[in-house]
Amino acid sequence: MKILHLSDSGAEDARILSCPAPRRGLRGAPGRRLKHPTAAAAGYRAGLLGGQRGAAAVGVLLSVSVGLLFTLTLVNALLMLYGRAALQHAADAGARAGGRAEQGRETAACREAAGRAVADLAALYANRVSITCRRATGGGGLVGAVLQADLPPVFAGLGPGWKFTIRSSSVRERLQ
Amino acid sequence: MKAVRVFVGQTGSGAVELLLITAVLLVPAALLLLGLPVLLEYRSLGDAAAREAVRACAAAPGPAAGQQRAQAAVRRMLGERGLDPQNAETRIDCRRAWAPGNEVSVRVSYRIPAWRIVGIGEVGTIAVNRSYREKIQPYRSR
Repeated sequence: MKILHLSDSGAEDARILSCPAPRRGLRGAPGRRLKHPTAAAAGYRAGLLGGQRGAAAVGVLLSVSVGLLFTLTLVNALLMLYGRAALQHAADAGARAGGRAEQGRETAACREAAGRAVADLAALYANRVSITCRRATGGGGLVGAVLQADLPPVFAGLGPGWKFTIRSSSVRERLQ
Repeated sequence: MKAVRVFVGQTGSGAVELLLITAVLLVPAALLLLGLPVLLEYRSLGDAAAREAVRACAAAPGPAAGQQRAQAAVRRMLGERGLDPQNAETRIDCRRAWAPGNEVSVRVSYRIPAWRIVGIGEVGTIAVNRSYREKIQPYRSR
């Protein structure tokens, strides 16, 4: 069986690849390995790993690994963004609760409400958040909540953590 | 004479495809995805500012103080969340509507980055309008 390999330079570069034994699967006579006719025609040579056999598996493995790493890194980032939105809500809820609380209980009510919101919405990060509430003057009296967070990546090692501070304040409501 | 074998056959095409797919599809999709929560956060910021302004008005002892406190509340809320209050336009009808049982409304308009990823950058601006209304307690004393 003869196979002509034609490269860009035309007939002058034509090589004749011979397969002395008739094709039986991918192996010929015992102890003698043959090139797959199609691979030979396409110009591939049997190298260290024996041509392209198994290349698809390696390709799939590589692409799936890269895709998976990429997806998990993205999930990390999205979870942190969700966490930040949840903490912002917790700060708002704390400040609002403090603003409605009775005289002298503003900061305690603020801390309770903010802590509850963090536990409900961002339990994943609850032990990495510190909550501070304070009373402030101005605008008829304010209650402010400050949340300091140090969010770790959920899938450790894939992407950095994120440190940030969230503030919220609310007016104090008094019975008139 | 040996032929030059660059670009002959499909050797290495898998790596090139992977690179192209990552650069053309995955990275832009990821950037788009990461920008969406920030956009929603800016939107809820307007809601929070409008709500606080209405509450400040409703809790104030009178219309003039209510108007002043509502404007201060919007500035404070925008400032706390990293937006420049000078770029926001606020319409508060506290002075006109402040009375027990009446409804007070606030509309906050501001411009936000059209696409922003925390720590990377931002592109363009879009206008956001948020409003909130609340009834003042009907049995409160003036």
